[in-house]
Amino acid sequence: MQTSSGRGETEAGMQPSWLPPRLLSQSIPKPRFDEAQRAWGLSIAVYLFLGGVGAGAFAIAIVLGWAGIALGPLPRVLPGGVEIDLSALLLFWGPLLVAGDAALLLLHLGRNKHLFVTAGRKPRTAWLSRGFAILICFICTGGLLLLLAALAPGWLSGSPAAWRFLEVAGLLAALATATYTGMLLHSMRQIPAWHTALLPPLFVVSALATGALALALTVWIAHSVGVEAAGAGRLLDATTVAAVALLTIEAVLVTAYVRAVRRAGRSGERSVLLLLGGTWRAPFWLGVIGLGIISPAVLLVAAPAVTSPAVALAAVSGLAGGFVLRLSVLGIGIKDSPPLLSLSTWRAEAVRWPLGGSPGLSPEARAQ
Amino acid sequence: MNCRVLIVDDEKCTGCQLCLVACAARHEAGLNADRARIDVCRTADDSHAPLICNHCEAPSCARACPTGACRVDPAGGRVIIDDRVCIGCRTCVVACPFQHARFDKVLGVTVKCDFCDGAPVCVEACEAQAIHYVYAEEAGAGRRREVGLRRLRPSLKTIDSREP
Repeated sequence: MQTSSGRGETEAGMQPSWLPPRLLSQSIPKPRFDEAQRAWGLSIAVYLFLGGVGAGAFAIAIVLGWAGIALGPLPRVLPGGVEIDLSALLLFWGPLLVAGDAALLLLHLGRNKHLFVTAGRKPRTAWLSRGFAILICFICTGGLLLLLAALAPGWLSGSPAAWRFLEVAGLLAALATATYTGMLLHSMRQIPAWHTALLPPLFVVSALATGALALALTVWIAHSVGVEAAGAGRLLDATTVAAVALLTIEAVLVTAYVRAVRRAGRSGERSVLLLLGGTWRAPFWLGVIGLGIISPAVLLVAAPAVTSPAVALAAVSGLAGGFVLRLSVLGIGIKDSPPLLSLSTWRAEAVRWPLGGSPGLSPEARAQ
Repeated sequence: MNCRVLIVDDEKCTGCQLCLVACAARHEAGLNADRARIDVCRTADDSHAPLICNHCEAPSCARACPTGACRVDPAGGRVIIDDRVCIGCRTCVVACPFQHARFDKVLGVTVKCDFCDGAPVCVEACEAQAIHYVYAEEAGAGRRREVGLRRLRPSLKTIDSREP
């Protein structure tokens, strides 16, 4: 430790007595360069999860509809005398969830007064801006499809081209929303656990899997409360088969993702250590693997019938696992920080390095 | 760009945190050092060093900011955050590899060192004269930034980093 020079010869480590007591008692922390980021936590995990579930459920409902698997009409009359088709609500609720999710995000923001004016300003470089546009597209196209399917099914059946256009636009917007949830994290180049090519596909597959499970849960709940729609059994069958297939792909992707992050330098290795054996080991093994993949897959395969409670249990378990996946990925985000060299080391190294040479420490500097 | 930067001589820093107090006072945060826009940390060998924004030439924080609140000031080369436009999404906090930007809960926006509009009070406050406000070329800071940014490119993984 050296004695400082300057106006007041202050012994190193001593603080002037006139400093506020709170500051004097405050211990100086070590730099947090090896800790995971904390700026994005629970609220962003909820945002990514609900966005994925809403988009996934909508996409699965559209694709199953194209395969001829859908619910029969369920006409109901609302208290105001408005007649709606309840089956549209049971199938296409995704945009409503995403709209609610976007509203929840406002709670995360420090200020949201100028949000709608400013948030989409930089789509060229910022994925949050792109996401703002993608979410609006999905909420509008999906919401329009939901409205028309629920309130004017007759008009849609008379215009198959318009219906198909809305379906395709909604599906593309839903897939873009699911992809955006992964790309938002992937765009952070200095966090190896996020900036891996496998993260967006993992989030998309997880979004589709949790979406299929959520759709199955919706139909199961409707069935269990006595809302009987034609084709409910077939739809439950198809969603459970889709969910098992997607969960299998997700298991492969999770394994590949962990291996890819482990190879992504020192911060990546530390992220994997946190995930597999550190702070996040319980959420990862119990939540992501146990609740999110194994438990729903086993329950869905072993369920005696598609209307049995095992299907609902599998859906709830899979949804919980999907949420923990996002939370875990956020929690292991350790930055790949540039080296912090002292000024004296820097001066010595700056002299030694030829232009374009390796910026690593010289053997002499390492030995010091 | 040969703009002015803050350079810290960690051998002179005593860890007195006067720079934090001055910074907090300058930015209307009273004497609450937690709300200062710079930080003082303890290094591996138990000396101290203020951590100050590097004002990168191609800043990750500005690239990730969705609103354009965080941007490079063309006049002075500083990276600034316009608190009238910032929505407090904390994307710049996550994006900064040096962990400099921080979220101010009271203001509801992200804040960072702005060189006090050209007259940094931390330089004046530092009794040990450990902080200097100099031209980047003189201090080799341009090269320092360059190395820091190269570290982010996957093709250059040879940079050594010391254990904290």
